Amino acid sequence: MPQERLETCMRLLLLEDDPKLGPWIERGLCEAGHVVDWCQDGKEAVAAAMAQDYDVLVLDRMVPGLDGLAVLKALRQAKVEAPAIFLTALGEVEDRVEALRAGGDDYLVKPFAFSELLARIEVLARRPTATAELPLVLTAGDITLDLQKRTCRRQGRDVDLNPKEFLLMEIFMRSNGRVQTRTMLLERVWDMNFDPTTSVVETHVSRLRSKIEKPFGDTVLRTIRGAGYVFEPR
Amino acid sequence: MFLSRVRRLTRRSAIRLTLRLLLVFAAVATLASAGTYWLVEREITRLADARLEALRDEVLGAMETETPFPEPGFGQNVLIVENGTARGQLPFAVPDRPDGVYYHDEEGERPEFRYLIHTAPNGARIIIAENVERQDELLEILSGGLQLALIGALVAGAVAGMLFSRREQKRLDVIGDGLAEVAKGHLSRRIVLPGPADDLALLSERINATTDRLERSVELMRTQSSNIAHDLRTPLARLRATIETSLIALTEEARPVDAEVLGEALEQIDRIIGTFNALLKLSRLESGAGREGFALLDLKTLAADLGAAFEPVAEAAGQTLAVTIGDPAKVRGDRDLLVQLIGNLVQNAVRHGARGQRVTLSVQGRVLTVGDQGPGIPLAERSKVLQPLYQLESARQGEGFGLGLSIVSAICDLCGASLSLSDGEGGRGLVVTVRFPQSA
Repeated sequence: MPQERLETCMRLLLLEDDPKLGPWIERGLCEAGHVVDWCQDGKEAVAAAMAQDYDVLVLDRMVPGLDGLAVLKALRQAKVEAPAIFLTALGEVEDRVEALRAGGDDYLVKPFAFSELLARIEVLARRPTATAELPLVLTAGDITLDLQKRTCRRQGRDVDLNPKEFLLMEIFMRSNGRVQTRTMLLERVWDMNFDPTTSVVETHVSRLRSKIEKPFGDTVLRTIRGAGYVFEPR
Repeated sequence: MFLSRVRRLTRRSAIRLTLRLLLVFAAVATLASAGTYWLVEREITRLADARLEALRDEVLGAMETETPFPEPGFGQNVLIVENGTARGQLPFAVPDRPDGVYYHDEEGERPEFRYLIHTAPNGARIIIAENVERQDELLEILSGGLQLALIGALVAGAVAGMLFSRREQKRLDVIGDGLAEVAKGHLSRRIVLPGPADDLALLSERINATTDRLERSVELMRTQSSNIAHDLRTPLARLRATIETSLIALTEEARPVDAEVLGEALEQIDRIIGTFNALLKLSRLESGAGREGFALLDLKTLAADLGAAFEPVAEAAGQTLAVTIGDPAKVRGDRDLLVQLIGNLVQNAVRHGARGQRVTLSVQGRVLTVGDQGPGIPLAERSKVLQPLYQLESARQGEGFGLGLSIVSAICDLCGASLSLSDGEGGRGLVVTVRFPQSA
């Protein structure tokens, strides 16, 4: 596991002016094995991002001086192509659209779960190479997922999954032991961009469990209450 | 005291209008009277002068032809002074003046005579006078009449104006008093205006309609804020209890905080955030935002996707979800919003039904229906459940309708779709029907 972490170690730029939230995010990202440069000022962030390459930029939209949106616009003009995720207390549709137009790749509304932020950052970091070197067969522990044949095998036995369950499984297999939040799963599997107080994710995961866990008498998906799920293959 | 009353009166618009009209009227009438008087007086003088000049010409003619002088007319006197001898006489002493026409008046009295002085070619001085007292009397009568007419008209105008304006003022006061009451917060106050159906009546009607609307929205806001308070307080209270219990356990019994407990706390917080987000979303939807993302969407595909997503949810609740898809139909809307609309309806249906019930989701053309076999909603409450956070009395203890149906209603409004609630088959359960407009 630590080996894997090292491979996925990223250099991140964090622009966040809140004295409590900034260190909290920084510490969390460091604990996840990433290197973080934290700035509280927009101009500082622009200078830092021009000086060196970052894997992902995490930008707060409302900071004194140059705000996150202006920072990204400036960076995109200077041909800094690192993927960027916005943090914001504004949750409006237009703000989201504006942020994406300015060259942002994702958008997270405060208050958010840290696991959510981490998961999104990791998705962004993977994005540029996603199409290039995708393996066609994923293996984790005793589970094998063949993306071409759309088959799932565990301990040499076929597990019959429907398309949504297959997609869920694929996301878990790629998760590298990270928490997958309900909101992210809703977005990626069902393309739902709102948080319904529904149990859509729970019930589908529970079905998946009945196929991938129950016949084998163990658990590979751990539920983290209030956060999401962690895939722990044996 | 008197002055302040006058000042108060002059502040009233009807009375001010009357006073202004009177002032204008008085000015015009005075000018007209003065003009009339001046014209009449000039004409009378001109006539008198013409008579004097005619007599003078006759006298001059007689002097030339040496015929006897003509007899002066009634009230006329002629005096001719020739080589120191005077012929005829005048009723007053004529001062020595150059040729011309003059008035004779004694010590500021009204002029009694008009006289003409003329020097004949042979040096004789001819003075002809005429008594003008009668004409003066006529002018005096004229002036008196004009003044009487002027004053009478002004007084009558003032009285009539005051009366009319007092009536209008009373009606204005009714409106003003009514509005003052409303401003004090008595939103149930309505204006009852006596008198004809005129612009003031129309105005008060509009004011009443406005107050009506205001009263309803304030009432709605009041119930909504208490509902919101309830919906936020409950999870906050649970959260507080969870943390407090944990803290006491930690400090007094040195028992470590349970991951399960913290997870529960996070769930409570997420619920609170969810309520906040839904409220924000609702207010944005109600302000008409979200139309910019509209596109033509296939209702059939959306319903099928959501049916598949919610099927296990229904199953987990011991229910079945039956999805019926008829003809495909394109509707105009925002994908996220329509997903939320259908999702909320299905979620509500599952939440409010009992185990073993059948939830139906069907699309026939541009009509989407979601039905359940739950307790349904009484007819009287149907419009109220669309209000944010409204909960049926019976549902108070439970989850309630929360914001789900209000958001559905707001999305329908935004898409121009009609939303109706009705009884299910055999009077059981609730059927929600959404009719989308023609998309072309």
